Amino acid sequence: MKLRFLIVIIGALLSLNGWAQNDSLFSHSVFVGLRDNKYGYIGYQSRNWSVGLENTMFIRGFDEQYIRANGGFRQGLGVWGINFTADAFVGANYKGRFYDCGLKVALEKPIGRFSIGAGVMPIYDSGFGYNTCYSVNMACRIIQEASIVVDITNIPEYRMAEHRIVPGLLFQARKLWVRPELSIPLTDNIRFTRVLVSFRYDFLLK
Amino acid sequence: MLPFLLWGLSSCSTRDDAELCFVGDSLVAGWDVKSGFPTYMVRNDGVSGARLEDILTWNLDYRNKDVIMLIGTNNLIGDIVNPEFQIRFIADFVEEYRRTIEILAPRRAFVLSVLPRNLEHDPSLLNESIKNLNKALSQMVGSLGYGKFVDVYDDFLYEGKLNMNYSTDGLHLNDMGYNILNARISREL
Repeated sequence: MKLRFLIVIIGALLSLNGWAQNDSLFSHSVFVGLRDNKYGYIGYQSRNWSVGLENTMFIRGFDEQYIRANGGFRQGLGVWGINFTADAFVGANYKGRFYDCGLKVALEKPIGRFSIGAGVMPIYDSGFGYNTCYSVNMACRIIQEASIVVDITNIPEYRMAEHRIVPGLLFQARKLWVRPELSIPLTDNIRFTRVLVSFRYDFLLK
Repeated sequence: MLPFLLWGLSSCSTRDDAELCFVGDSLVAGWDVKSGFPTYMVRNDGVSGARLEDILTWNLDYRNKDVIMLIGTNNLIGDIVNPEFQIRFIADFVEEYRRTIEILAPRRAFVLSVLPRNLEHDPSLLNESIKNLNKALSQMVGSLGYGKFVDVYDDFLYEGKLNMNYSTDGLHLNDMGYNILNARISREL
């Protein structure tokens, strides 16, 4: 009961806080996009804070949809050019079968055209219980608009934590970024490699 | 939207959040059920080359869980096209299937029909025999009370054989084939 109360409070707070994506837009904007093929999202970003809501797409059956509120914050630490990000979410299945919540805290260090980063994500799913997930990521900018990116992570793409390596490309062009990637299992059947696409488009506000 | 989310959270319960378990042969082993059922807790207990009688040797515990079963194609042998053998084979197979489900004792059992095949050396009447087998399976599952027979045989059929648009080799499925299974199972859950 306490946990449910806590999640409701987090959800309410997230509506006031923010959701930061992997871009460097620090103006006011309303953004729309798609995450991992299956989640459409919309949000608002104000400088380094943002909020957002995402919902499953292409899931069969209205009751089985999943909705999630996101909030995030990003800030340069002013030490060795390291950036800090914190992203929290709370979500639930329409039918009320399950809920989940998590908080990802990460650091990122740009080094010339390269960048490296790592983060941890305590996550709770009412079906699976508590899990501490991790993410290690590297990126190399090839040209101004395109980078090669690789993540090694067990942060759930759906509900289950799976150890995966996720190489991909990140294309950025002003208000749009598109990220196609391969999600390759490290411990599961290699045939369960997934082709994932994420994108975000920002409508800049004055 | 936020009030809706909060309502969803307050109504959340784990009581009927049963795990969705997939069991069967290579058709199940090659099925990315995590991606196909992203809002469920899923488990894939598929084993390549498995026959129906192998399932009970795996010490599975499906009590209070929902089970999706797809198995049988490795049990099929050439003699099944022989009418006399076919009658005995189907009776034995269906009885073994019933025994398997009863011992697994899931909360709900969704039995997928055996799929048609399109292998080079398959007897020409094999798919007709599979159709007869599915009819008998359907009756058995209907009599269980907690089972549901999901007949996808016709969905995969083209000119009397497995539609190669849905298959990699005449036996196993490609992503389009698995999409059909995802859609049919989602409708039943």
